[in-house]
Amino acid sequence: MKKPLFLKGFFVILFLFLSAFLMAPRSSFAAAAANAPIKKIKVEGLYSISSDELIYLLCLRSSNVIVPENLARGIKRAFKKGIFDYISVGRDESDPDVIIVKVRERDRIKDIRFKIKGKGVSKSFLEDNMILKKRGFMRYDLLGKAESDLREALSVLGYPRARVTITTVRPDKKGKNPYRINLDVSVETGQPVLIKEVKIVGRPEAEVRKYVKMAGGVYDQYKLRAQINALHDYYVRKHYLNPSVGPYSFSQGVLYINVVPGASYETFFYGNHALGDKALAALLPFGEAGAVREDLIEEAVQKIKDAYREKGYPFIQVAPVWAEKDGSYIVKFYIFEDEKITVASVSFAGTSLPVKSLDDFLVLREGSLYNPDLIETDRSNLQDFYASLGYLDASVPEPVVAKAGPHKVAIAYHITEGRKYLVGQVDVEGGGPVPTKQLRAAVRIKPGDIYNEIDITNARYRLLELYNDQGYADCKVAIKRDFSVKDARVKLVYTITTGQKFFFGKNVVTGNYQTKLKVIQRELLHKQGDPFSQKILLKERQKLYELGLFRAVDVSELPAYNATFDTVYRVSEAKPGAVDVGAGYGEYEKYRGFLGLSYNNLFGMNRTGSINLEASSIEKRAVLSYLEPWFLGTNLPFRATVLVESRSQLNYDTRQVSYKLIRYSGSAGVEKKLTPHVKGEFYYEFSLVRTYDVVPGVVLSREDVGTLAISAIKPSIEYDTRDNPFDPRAGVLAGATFKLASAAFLSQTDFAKVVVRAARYQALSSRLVLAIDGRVGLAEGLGETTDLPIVERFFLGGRDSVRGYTQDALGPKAADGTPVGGNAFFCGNLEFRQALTKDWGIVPFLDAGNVWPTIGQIRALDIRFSTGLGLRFKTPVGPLRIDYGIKLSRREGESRSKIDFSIGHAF
Amino acid sequence: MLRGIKIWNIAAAALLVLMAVGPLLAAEKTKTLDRIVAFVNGDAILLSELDARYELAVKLTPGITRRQVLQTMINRDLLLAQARKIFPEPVSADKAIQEYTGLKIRAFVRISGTAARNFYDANKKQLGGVSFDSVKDQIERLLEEKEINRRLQAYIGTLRGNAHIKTFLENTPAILH
Repeated sequence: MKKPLFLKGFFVILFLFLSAFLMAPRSSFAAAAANAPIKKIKVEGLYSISSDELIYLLCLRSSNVIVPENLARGIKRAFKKGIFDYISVGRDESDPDVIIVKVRERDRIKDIRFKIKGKGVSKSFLEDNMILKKRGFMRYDLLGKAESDLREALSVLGYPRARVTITTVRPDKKGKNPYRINLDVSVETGQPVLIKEVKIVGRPEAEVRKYVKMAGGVYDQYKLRAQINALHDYYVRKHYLNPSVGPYSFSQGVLYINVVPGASYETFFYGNHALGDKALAALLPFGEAGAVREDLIEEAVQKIKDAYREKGYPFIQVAPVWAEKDGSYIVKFYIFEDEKITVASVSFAGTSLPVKSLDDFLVLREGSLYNPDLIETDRSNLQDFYASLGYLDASVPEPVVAKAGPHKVAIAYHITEGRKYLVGQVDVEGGGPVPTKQLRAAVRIKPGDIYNEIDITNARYRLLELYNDQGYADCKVAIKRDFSVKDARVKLVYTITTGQKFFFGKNVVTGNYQTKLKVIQRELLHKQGDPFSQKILLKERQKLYELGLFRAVDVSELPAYNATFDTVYRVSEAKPGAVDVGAGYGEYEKYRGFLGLSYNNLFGMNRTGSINLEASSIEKRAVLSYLEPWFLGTNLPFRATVLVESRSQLNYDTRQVSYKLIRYSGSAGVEKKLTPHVKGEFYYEFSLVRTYDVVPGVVLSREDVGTLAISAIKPSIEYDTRDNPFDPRAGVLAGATFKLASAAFLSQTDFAKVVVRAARYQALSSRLVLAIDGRVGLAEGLGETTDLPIVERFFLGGRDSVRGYTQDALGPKAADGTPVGGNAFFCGNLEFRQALTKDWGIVPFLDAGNVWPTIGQIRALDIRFSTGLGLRFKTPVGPLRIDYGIKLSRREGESRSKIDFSIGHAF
Repeated sequence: MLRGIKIWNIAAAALLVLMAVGPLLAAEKTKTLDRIVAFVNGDAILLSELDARYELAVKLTPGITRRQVLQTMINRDLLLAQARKIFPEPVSADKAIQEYTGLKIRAFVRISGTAARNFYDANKKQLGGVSFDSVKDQIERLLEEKEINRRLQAYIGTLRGNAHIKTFLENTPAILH
């Protein structure tokens, strides 16, 4: 059958058309694509970060043309992000304006699931011995090693026939994040190898039985090695010089352990009084050296002598006697302590300087123990001191030490001062872009100043810092000194070689798997194109640490290109959640407990949410709070809190309920650091308070019974220079809080109250801190309100105010003795915080204070005092404390004293 | 025979082939500008870098393959990472590697007189019967270089064993969607 001619023609035309269609884009691409500006960027395969971040790192910008070197640098930079295996950038052949970025992210291990068949192997043991970790990146090349590592670990554990299989499973098939995998670890332990008998070779078994207890158990070599180490330590403690425990072998169910304790030594001290046997034995080098030899005995003698000299025995003599018998050594030290010497006086001849200023540089001063080893230190310090004052030719020879009465010596220095050199002229050359005025300010040294090498070197560092901060990372500063003996002047010339100016490039942030990039970016202090500065990088690192989100922050720069440094911020995220649980017992509250849950990285934005629950026999409280550190996109922390509280106020003596209240309260406001030490706050607070079951005598105002709405604003300011808020040794904490409740804010009660406080902390010595605190509170009802509602009145007394008194017990009381609070208070505290050891301390204290019904009724002489002693134990969140307070102005019917327990300092 | 085949049959067959291959041609829509061809721990090696290095290498060693050049680049990256721990910037990369291999390998290579003598005895004929003393230094240098090369290869093997290396020269990884 013949095809019609038109059909033949149709096929030919179709063929030509299709050929042209399929080939056309490729042929046109070459002409059009080479340098077409970018119109659109398509990203494929990206899940863990935003396209914007990737495009930023790649340095691709819409309407820009692609420069190959920049693109290469961009891909390398993006790779530094640490989450990619592969990145490719290309042009769409059909549309050369479109750039296509394809990435393959690294697989991360979402979970490791263990399936264990057999006994004696825990999940944590397998986790510890897995080279691949949960939440880490998957290394497929290590899969085989991971299996063999586990098999090896199980074999050491006593399961040599264990089977291990690891398989990977990609759980997320819906496309949320396909780069997450699970590892399924299947373990079949098999039968363990058991030890039927333990044979000790070289020593009686009874001697080692206490330490080696393996018989009858699994041949667990981890346990065995620990027991062998314990046995080794036992022999060291017993003064064996080179104990050898092991090697061990295992055959036919029998474990053989070789034990050779080796030679031992015994030491004896005679004639020692100032230093005990134990202290002297600790100085001996025999155990560490594993031998008793002539040179080690000499070393021991020297160490003993040094220890005695430190104690003020300069004439100490030590005679060693030693002998060997049956491989054991006996070493005897005969000690002749002689007299203990103190320094009677230190005198200086030939000096024009005040003796006090020289004395400050000495270790051996009047009254100190005399140690001849320190003479050279003192002489050298004096020499350096003279040099620092410009006495470059000064000579401080070794002092004359002479007997000055029984057990005393006098030290006499004969100094030759020589001429005092001053700075003659200071020049700075090669300053480049920095104005001379700024350079002079950095140098600080002026003609006529004392010639001092430390000042001169410091000036060089300041100049370097000045230039480094302006981007001159390679800046060099040389100092030339021209000495003029004629007029004792020195001309200084600082020569600056600025080098190239560098700039900040792009930022690569890595390790922020939970935390949003924005949270890190907003803390950075530089912009792209700013002069590069290491100081800025250090500050940024500090700021990132302060977020509380990271365990580690590392900041580094990539190799420079075009005078630009890209910076890499490597963060290691900390666990964002915390749980606090506690329980206690108080005299007033009886049993109490609390539970706190907090999470400081909500939505990856460093927002904190927390809930705190507290309960005791008289109180139940729940507080929900939320903190947004960057409110409305600015560095303005916003905090909102909701509180629900139910409380019963008891009479302290009878424990009868004086009143009960339920409070629902919400507050919201902002905080702002105005300077590094000054913080301002502004909050709005609304509370609904229901007071009921009130004993008649407690009622002061109409607001004290029933339900009351309190709506108030609360501005405050705080000045804080404390070095450590939990345990300060220096600084000031001062502040004022003002609260205004008014009908204007829909409040049912009107009042104003202010609390002002100031505390000062001063270290008096390395172990003693003086702490003083004063607080004053004043309140006044406004409009129809005369007395404040009971929840707003001031109370005083107890663990954080005037110790020795019952909690809140000072001031006005109802007829049944229940404290009713007042509108004014004063509280003052004085503490001497004395450290006894690293963790323990004692605190003698004096407290004073009182509460008055109204401001007009304040009586300056009506102050209640208490004193006492506290015990402190340091913890990371402040000291645990017990305070025993004694009332100094006790009234009839009051107890004499009271003990308080708490956490944290009283102020 | 050929005459028996109708022109339209050829056209139809060509059309079928084109229709089968066409989508494949259409799918290859991206012209790569640059991409990662390998990574060594935290550093990427790019196609553009490989191309540049290959261009140089092929002039010096005609017949060298791109894969061989890439392996050389990986070895160099591994050595450089070690060298930078002792010789940081601004010491150049080449200098750092040279100094490092000198310290790590060259310093420990010693050729004994016996080894040189044995080599001489084994290759006496090829050496043209010259005396041992006249070629001793040359033999020692040759053996030294051989030993250095052997140790360097072994060291690089160790570095490779501890490193995370992936190459994507021919096979690019699947992009997950």
